[in-house]
Order: sequence, then C-alpha cells, then structure tokens
Amino acid sequence: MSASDRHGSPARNGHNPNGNGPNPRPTGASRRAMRLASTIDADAEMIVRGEAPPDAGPELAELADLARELRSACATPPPREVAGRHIAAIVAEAASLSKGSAVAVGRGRRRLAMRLPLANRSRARAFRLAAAGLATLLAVTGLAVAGVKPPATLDGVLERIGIGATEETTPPAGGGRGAADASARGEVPDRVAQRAERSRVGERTRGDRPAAQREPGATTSGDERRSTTGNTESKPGRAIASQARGDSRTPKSPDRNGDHPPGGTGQSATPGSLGGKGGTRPEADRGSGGPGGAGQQRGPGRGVVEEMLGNVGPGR
Amino acid sequence: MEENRFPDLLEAARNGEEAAWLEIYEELAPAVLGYLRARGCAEPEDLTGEVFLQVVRDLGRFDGDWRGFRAWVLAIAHHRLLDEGRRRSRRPVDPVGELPEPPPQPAHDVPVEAAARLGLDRATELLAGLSADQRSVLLLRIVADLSLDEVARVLGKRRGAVKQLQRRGLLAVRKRLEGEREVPSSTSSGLVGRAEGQQ
Repeated sequence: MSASDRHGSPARNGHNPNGNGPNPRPTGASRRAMRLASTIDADAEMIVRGEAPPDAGPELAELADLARELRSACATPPPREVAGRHIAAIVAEAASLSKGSAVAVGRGRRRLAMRLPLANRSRARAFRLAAAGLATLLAVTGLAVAGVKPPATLDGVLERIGIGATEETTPPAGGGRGAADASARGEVPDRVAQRAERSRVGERTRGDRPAAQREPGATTSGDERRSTTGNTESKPGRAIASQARGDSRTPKSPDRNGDHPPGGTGQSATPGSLGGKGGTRPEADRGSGGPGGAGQQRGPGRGVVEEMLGNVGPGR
Repeated sequence: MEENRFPDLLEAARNGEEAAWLEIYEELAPAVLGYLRARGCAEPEDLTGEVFLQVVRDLGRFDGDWRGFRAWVLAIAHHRLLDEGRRRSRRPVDPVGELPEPPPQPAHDVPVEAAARLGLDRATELLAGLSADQRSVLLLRIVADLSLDEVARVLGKRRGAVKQLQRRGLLAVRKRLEGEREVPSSTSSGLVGRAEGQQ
C-alpha cells in the first residue's frame, strides 16, 4: 500500500469530503483487487497451468500453486479394476458396432428415437398425428373441390349415417335429369325405373288437373327455384306438402322474390313438376338443373309427394 | 499424444481395435473422472464409463484433431453430468440406513490415493463457493487442460463470457484462500504439505 493510500485525503479513503455519503471512487483495497483482476487476466494462462508468473506477487503465486495441486488431485486415473471394467465394456461396444455397421445404420433412426427425451418423443408423435389428420382433411377437400364422387358403397354408408354428398354434376338441359341424377348417384337402373313408374302413377292418379284449380302459390314449383338457386328449402314444395296435409294456410309464392327462372314457368304447372319433397328431398336432387327444362324434369324425389297428392284426391 | 499419430489412432478405434481404445481411455479417463469428481458427481466412475460408451457410439460423427477430440469427450462428460443432475432432481435418492461393509480391497498406491483424496476434498471445499459455471470453467481449464475456446465450445458460451467466468472464479478462490489464512486453525500451507503430513 502506498503512502498516498495510507495518508491520503478523505476522498481517497472512501469518504466524501462534502459529507454527502460515500464516495464512488475506489478505496485502496478495491484498487488492489482491481489490479489483481487485471493481472489475473494477463497471467491467467500461466496460473491455470499451475505456473506462477515471473513478477507476480504472492497472491498470484498462491493461486498458481492451488491450480497445480488441483490438477494433481483431480486428474488421477480410475482404479485398476474400474478401468478394466470400462475397457471391457468399451471394446465390446466397439466390436459390436464395427461388426454390425450396416445394421447400425439401419437402426440409426430407432436409436435416435431412443435418445430423444420423453417429452420430445410425445411431441413428435402428436405432430405426426396432426400432420396425418391435416393430410386427410386436405385430400378429402381436394376431392370434393374436384367433384369426385365417392364410390357407391361409401355413398350408401354416408347416407345411412346422415351425410349426403352435394351434387356437382350439371345434367344436360331438358329431360332425363332424374336418370342423370340417379346415375350420378350410382343408383342401379332398376331403382330409377321404379321411381319413374311411381311418377307416372302419380300423374295418372292426379289426372289432368287444370292449373287454375291449384293454389296461386303453387304455380311455380320447387324445381324452378332449384333451377336457379339450388335452395334446399323449396317453398312451393312445402306448399304442396302442406296442401297434402290439409293445411289451410296459403304458402308464399316464390314469385315475390322475383327470382323466377327464365323458361320454366309455363311447364312448371304440370303435375310432374310439382315437386319434390321440399326440404326433405334427397341431397342429390338439390341445386341442379338448368334453366331451360326444369319443368319437364322428373326427379326421383317427386314420387312421394305425388303419392301423397294422389291420396288426397284429384278433385280437391 | 502426438498430433500426427491421432488420425491412425482414430481410424483404429473406428475399426474396433482394443489397443486404440485402451490408449484413448488411458489418455482421457483421468481428466474425465477428475472433472466429474470435482463437479460433485455422485457416482463419477460409473458416469465415466457411460461417457466412454457414448464416445464409442458417436465416434463416427467426430471429425477433427486430438485437441478437438479431447474437447469433444469433455463436452460429452459435461452433458452427461447435466443429465444426471436433472435426473437426480426429478427422482431424488433416499439414503439407505445401513449398508454392509465392503470387502477389503488390496492396498495399492495408498499414499497417492490418500493425497489425492485429501486434495480433492480441499479442492471441492474451495470450489464450493463458486457458481456452477465458474466451477465448470476452472475445472475444464485446470483439470482437463482445455483452452478458452475449447471451454467455450464445451459449455456453449462465448469466449468473452468464459474469460469473465474464469477471472471471477479465480478471484473468488483467491478470496477464500485469504479467508483461510486469517483463520489460525488452518495453518498448513498447501495440499502437498498436508498430504505429506498425513503420510
């Protein structure tokens, strides 16, 4: 410690001469520590090797001694029996790895999975599941966008559980929509023929009822609305169904909406076009049909309502 | 270990030659075991064996010289030590009441082992006040003889951070040494003197 440190001003001894608290300037001890720190930085390489720097004070020499002793104390070889055990295990492992190097390459993935922590493994499994789910969803969506129909067996299963496939195919203008729909649904021709027969029976039962005898709102059919909007709730269809139930309310006419399709009104009054079951019609019938020939179409869903109408009687 | 011999040694070890593995073990096991002991590992010898088995399995992925190989092995030891610490903190071991006495071992190198034991106790005591990072840096520098850059690679830190940890660690040890000197009971000057006194 120098004389100035011992007998220096109060400021050097860590006291503020103004008396306003401690002085931030370092004291003699802290300066010595700072000097030691800078010396350690400079001579650290020698100290950690256990060599005292040439012009170092006793403090650094003691540190170097300690490092040397630490090295000699810690870096001792393992006991002989332990070393023998280790060597035997190492050689066995090395021999098995070098012998089955091809197998080891194949097992690399499994060994890597074993090395992964448990949390990472479960996270990887969840990620794989999510990726598979997303891929399935994308595949189904892509098929739906492309308009691919599911196979008939799958379609039947889906219908049984209440999921109906949306009809995307546009039938040719004019007649034969029912058959087209049926073929699009993959129905067998016998069933189509039965429905057509039922439709004809309905026409015969209702007879040639003039259009004037019918309700005003019933002049347009659900097929007409379907031809443009593809609406699943066919109001005229509901009107006729309510008539069949003996409902006295007058249903709304779709004309109020002003969405009459072109070219469908004149022939829509025919009994064959009355139809549909309205909201209960199968999904495959909905939303299809061109503007030119909806009135002449004989959809397969019409038979039920016509049978109901036939039960009410033609002379109502 | 001579640097120019190392590629042949590495190739022989990859081929599973026993002599190569024996040489590698004898060169590196003291440093690995010393590091694990001084870091307070509960079963340092078992962990040393696991470290070398891991070295055998991962040797195909190593590429470098002898210094790099040494640092790589110490890095495996360091990570194994951290894994063991985590495992122990998750599943603490209950102490057993009474253990049977171990069979008497053949006495060999008793003075050396006693000195080492004493030195290790003192080193552990001196390093106890340091932070884990400071202890790692000092032990890797002193016991494993790694450079600053190699220690930085092992610990996954920057060189400047390692240098700072080393400086603070040395200063803390120095402070503890000063404190020991002030206590009149600890009159012996150093480890070697104490070990000689035991003999």
